[in-house]
Amino acid sequence: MDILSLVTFLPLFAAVALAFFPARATGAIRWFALLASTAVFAVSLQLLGAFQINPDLQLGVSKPWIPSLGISYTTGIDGISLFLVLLVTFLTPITALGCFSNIEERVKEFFICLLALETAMIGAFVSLDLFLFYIFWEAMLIPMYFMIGIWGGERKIYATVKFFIYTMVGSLLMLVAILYVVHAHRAQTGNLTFDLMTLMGTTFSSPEQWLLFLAFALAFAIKVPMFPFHTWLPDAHVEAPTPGSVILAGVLLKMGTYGFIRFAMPMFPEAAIRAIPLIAALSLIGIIYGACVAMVQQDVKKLVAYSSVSHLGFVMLGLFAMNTHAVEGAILGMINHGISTGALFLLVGVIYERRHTRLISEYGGLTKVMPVYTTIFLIVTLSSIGLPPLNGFVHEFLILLGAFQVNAWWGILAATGVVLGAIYMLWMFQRVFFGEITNEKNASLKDLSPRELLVFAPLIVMIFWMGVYSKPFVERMEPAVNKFVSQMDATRAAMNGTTFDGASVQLDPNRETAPR
Amino acid sequence: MMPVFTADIARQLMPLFILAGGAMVLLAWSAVSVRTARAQQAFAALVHVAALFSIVSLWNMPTGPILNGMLVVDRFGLFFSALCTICSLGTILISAGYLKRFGILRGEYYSLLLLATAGMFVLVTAYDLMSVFMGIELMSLAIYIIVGFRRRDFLANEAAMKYFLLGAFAIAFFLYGMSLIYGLCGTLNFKGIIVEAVARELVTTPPFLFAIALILVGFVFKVSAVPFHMWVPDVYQGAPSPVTGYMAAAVKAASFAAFLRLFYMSFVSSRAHWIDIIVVLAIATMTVGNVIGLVQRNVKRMLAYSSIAHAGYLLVGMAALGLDNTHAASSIMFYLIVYAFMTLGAFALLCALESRDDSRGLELEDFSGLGLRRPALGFAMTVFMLAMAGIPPTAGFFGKYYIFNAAVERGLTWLAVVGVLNSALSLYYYLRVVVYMYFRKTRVETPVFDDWGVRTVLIVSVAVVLWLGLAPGGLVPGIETILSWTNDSLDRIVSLR
Repeated sequence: MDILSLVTFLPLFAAVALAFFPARATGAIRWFALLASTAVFAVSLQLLGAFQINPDLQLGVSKPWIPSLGISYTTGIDGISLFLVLLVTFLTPITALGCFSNIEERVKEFFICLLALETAMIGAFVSLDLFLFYIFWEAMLIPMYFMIGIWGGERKIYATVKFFIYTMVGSLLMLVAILYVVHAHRAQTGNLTFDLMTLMGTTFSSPEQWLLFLAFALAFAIKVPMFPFHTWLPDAHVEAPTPGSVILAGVLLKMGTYGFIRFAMPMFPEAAIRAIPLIAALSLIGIIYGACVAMVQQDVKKLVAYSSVSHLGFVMLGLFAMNTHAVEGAILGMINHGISTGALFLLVGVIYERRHTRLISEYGGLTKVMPVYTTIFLIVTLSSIGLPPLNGFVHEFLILLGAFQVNAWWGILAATGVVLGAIYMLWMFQRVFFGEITNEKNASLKDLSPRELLVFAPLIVMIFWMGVYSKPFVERMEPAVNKFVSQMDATRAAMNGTTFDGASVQLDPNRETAPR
Repeated sequence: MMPVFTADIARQLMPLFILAGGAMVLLAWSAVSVRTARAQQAFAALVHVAALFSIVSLWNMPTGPILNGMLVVDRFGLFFSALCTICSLGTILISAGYLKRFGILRGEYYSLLLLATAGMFVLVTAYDLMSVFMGIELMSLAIYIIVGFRRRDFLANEAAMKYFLLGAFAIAFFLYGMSLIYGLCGTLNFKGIIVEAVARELVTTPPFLFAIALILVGFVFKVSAVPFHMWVPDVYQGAPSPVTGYMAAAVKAASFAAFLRLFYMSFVSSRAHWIDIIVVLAIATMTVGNVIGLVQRNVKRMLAYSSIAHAGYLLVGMAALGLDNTHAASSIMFYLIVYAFMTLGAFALLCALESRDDSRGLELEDFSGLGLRRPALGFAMTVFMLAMAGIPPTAGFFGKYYIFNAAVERGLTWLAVVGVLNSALSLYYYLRVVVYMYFRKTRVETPVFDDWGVRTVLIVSVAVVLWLGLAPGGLVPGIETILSWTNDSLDRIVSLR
């Protein structure tokens, strides 16, 4: 088995092994899941070593799977997906450790879901065959559906069914679009294949390309989620158990942005370029709207959920700015958001576990009883609002830089989002941690346990590392980003060329005859 | 004149002889002894196994039409008769406990099942409209009776009566179409029809098309598609649950087999004229099935509407049928296999949950907490529900994918879009079962009677539904293997055409 497949399927094997544990042995189950996911992380670090700094998709395999229908098991990673895979393998053990104490019921089933989800997520990031990608993409829904449905809050059923159906509608239209692309490719070349690299060579008429792009974009936009497709997100987050939220915000949302940069944009570059005004407008609305709504939330978790809408708006804006700075910023943004929002949800989980409420008004003055917790929360908050030298600064700066190059208004509006972000986060922080202890129940809260510290330590390390020294990350993703940007530039040049040439060729006879 | 009956023909008809002979023996046996139902059940199962062996042994035998072109025991027919026999065998396994609990454990039940399966063999190997008619009647008459097998039950009586009257009515349309065809072409033979229709330039004439439409009515009734679907929920609810499973899985498969063969072979030249009708029927069937399915609280009625919706997806495959490709026909065949296993599995679970005092059948509430109380059963039902909704990595996804693939290939992209939107709609009611099984607190603890027969069917169905979702093949036949079977079967039909 090649290393990429090993990383992909190791969690699944662990999940299957877990199924044979007796349900009562919760301790053994927790430790096994933690060890297994840590082992996956260790194995995935070898990807980093084996990865060559060049724009190619590498380390993958291509094996026939259902050859009579052109379906193959084709995988590979480049600088973009490398870090997303590592993000998954990094967050899963942390999540597993983080939920040692707050998942009390059906522990076995929970960790089976978590590990199965890890396989599906990694699989979606490494697939280069559209059919394979679709399988992983959809398979992700099932464990998450159960996570929210079984271990969720009061309105869990509403939230989880909404999450499932919302995501599914978009995905199914994408499935039809995939089929359309495949058959169009076959009609043009006589070759039936689902291989992404081969299908990129398919040519489409403009309206076709536009519709196909929209079908893909809808599926990804729902996952991101972009305004106005974001309504499932707050529901899902509020009802999800802490680990569910961490994975949902940390990884699943990136699936949408990753889908744009890997599939929707390179496959339909012309339509992508035409969609820039639309997507940029929706992203900017998302940035500001998400921030404004976050500001008025009573519930910390909901606040973080809406802040995700805002942050992901940044990422989308960066992708559609289509220059090296912005796209690099967008990819860093995906990883940073995964780390800091994952950390925020874990932090919210800590107080929720102690008090069983997430309302801001229930807290106040926590810094007096939980100094360590406060410190960590502050670092993560500052990372989330993009304060240098923490990680959030790097990507926000790059995205703003890239956005300003395209359109000053984008930069200005997006920068407003940064300001708003600082307002809602710091205001929330102030209300929760500063002042006198107004609620007696908070007076006896325990600070972080060693286990909880161990959960946050790697996250804090990453927050500093990526803020201070992001070179190892940037230099690995840069070739792939440049390849993407140059493809977009070439398309733009070709479009400008053909529209002008085409117009002149078509219009010239009229122009010559009509005025005279 | 060819010799009508030879040893070779006898060999080809062996599965039919075994099934029908077994039915006769059982019938006589039940007449003289009523206390030996368990032995009769074992005997019926053995008869199925024997029939299955003889079907498999015929796979590599080169065959043409036999009995003066009445039947053709080709791979297509064998494929479907194997499927129907497996469904029937599964039905026997899940019936035992159920029949006992409801006090209807009688040998005649098995005899009738065997007769219906024999009818299916005739139907799927039919090469002449007359044999289609005989197959349908043999199959249906037996089923009319077992639908009403709980004869003291009000709903069962209603179901049997309704099914019988409407079925008789629908088959009358079919007969009328047949007579028109005979009048126009002078033959009822599948090949004869197409040869004569082309020779006499009938292909696009109104009488010929009218005859096709009438025949279509008969098939649309049998496959439970809109607008002839009204009987489905009542009959599904009233029939004993194993029989419902059998009807959903095997009757649909056998009817679609004859439908497919006839339209793919004899009426394919008139395709341009009937395709629009099929498209409209497909859209109506999917939508009606799924929309009404949304509000069902009775699980059997919900599965009935789901069965209607699945007929709609299969009709999408019919609409994609064409002269030049086999993907559409092959996708229908694949889907029917998958559908048979997921339905049979779901009904196996229903049988295990039903007990005497709830003759109205199971409500969604009866599933509450099942997944937590009985994880294995919950897992199985989840797999079936996800498969019916078409979610990877189950075979339901691959089946749907393959059908929509055929539709897009033929330029029916918009029909595929309607299909996938319907899938999204159906997700709501399939997921609701899962919601009740896992996410709700248990209020009533429905007793579970899962004997070894039910368990066997559940294990096999789950294995098949998961295996055919991903595995291309290998030691056990997978997707790729089945595709090669379907393509082989269809090549023969095309070559006969």
